[in-house]
Amino acid sequence: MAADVELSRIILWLKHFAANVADNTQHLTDLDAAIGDADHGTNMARGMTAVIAALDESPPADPAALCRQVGMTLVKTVGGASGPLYGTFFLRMAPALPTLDAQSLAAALRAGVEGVVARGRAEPGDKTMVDALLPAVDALDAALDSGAGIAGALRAAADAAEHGRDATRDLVARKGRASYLGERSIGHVDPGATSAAMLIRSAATVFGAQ
Amino acid sequence: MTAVGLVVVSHSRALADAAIALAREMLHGNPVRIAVAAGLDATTFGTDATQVVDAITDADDGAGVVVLMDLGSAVLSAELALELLDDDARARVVLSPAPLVEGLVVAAVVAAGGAEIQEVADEAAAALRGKLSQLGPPAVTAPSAPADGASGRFVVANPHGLHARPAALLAHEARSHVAIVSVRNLTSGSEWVDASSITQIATLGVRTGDEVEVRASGDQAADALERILALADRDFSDAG
Repeated sequence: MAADVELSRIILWLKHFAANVADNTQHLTDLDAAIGDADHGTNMARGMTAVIAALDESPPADPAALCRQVGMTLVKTVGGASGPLYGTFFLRMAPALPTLDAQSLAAALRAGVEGVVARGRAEPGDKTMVDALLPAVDALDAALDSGAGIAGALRAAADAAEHGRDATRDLVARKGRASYLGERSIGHVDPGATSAAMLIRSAATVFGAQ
Repeated sequence: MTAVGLVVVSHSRALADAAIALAREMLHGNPVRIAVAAGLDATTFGTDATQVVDAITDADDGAGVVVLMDLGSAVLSAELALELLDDDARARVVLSPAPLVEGLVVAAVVAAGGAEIQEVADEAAAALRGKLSQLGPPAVTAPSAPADGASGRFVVANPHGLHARPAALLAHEARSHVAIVSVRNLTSGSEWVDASSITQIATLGVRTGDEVEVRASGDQAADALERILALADRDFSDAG
């Protein structure tokens, strides 16, 4: 059965993502070593560790405060481009989450993705996290429109995010350090798209659980 | 009259401190406020938009602040910092596209002379003038647009535009002919580039829906053009 969009679920989502990042730190770093500066895993692990510590230390009272706290923590601790990018994602989610329901969550995720696009100015096909995030929110909206509950819609979003991540393998990077490699970035999956797909899959897992 | 303040945003604290020390050598004790937002700490590389906010606040004495950045996420952090400032503070900040060291040194000297923020920003943005006049502008190896020859146009339908495999096929086709083949992106108004180079094709940034012009000159130019237009016609897939 579909789970309600409760504050506690959102916190569980972030904890699941943090655990996912911790388990895959080396993998994310290896992807980034191939086409970047080999720090995406370390940066994201540091950021998400700080996010969870902040959530445990000062639990936010409402979803907007939660998103702001997560966003600002990532801005302060990630260090690389994912700091301002994921930071903006959560900061833009905050005002779009006044009520806790499926439509609000979808609107908030969409606002977050649009924030990432505005911040980094990446377009689809640039071989970035946007190549996972945009298909994810498109699939999410389509599933909700066709009557799916939040759990099923997030599963569709996660599938789309992973598909988008896999498709980055054959792209030439046009943003970030990888763009300095030009055609040598072909054949490597983008690390940002990988962590973004993990973020969406964590949401699907948590909202799909009882 | 207070001087314009400066902020240095860098992935590296050591780099920022050294660049500022270099700039201060030119100031002979003149008190220009230069604040640092560099590294997550003294030894960890990275940038933090909240540090940039603090640095801007420190450097702002009312005459405004010019922000110099190294690269990549330093720029993202600085842009996010602007969003975190209040409207009054934001209106007094200019993010400079200048190269970090050259821009910082010029900005410091000009700010120390009492210039207003727009002049400091303009001089910083032109900071490469010295090196360019000394060394000459970088040579660009793109071919000049061929005067004679055959030309044609096509619209790119590939969902990811003209890169990766489609670009490789175009470059391969262009290279296989004696004729000299050039392409340009009409939609973005790009320069002509050598069609036999995948990295030069990549600089065109051809996206889906963009219109490309191709020109061939020299021996068998018409044949080369025909083959390339045929390749474009099958959306840069391998011949059947």
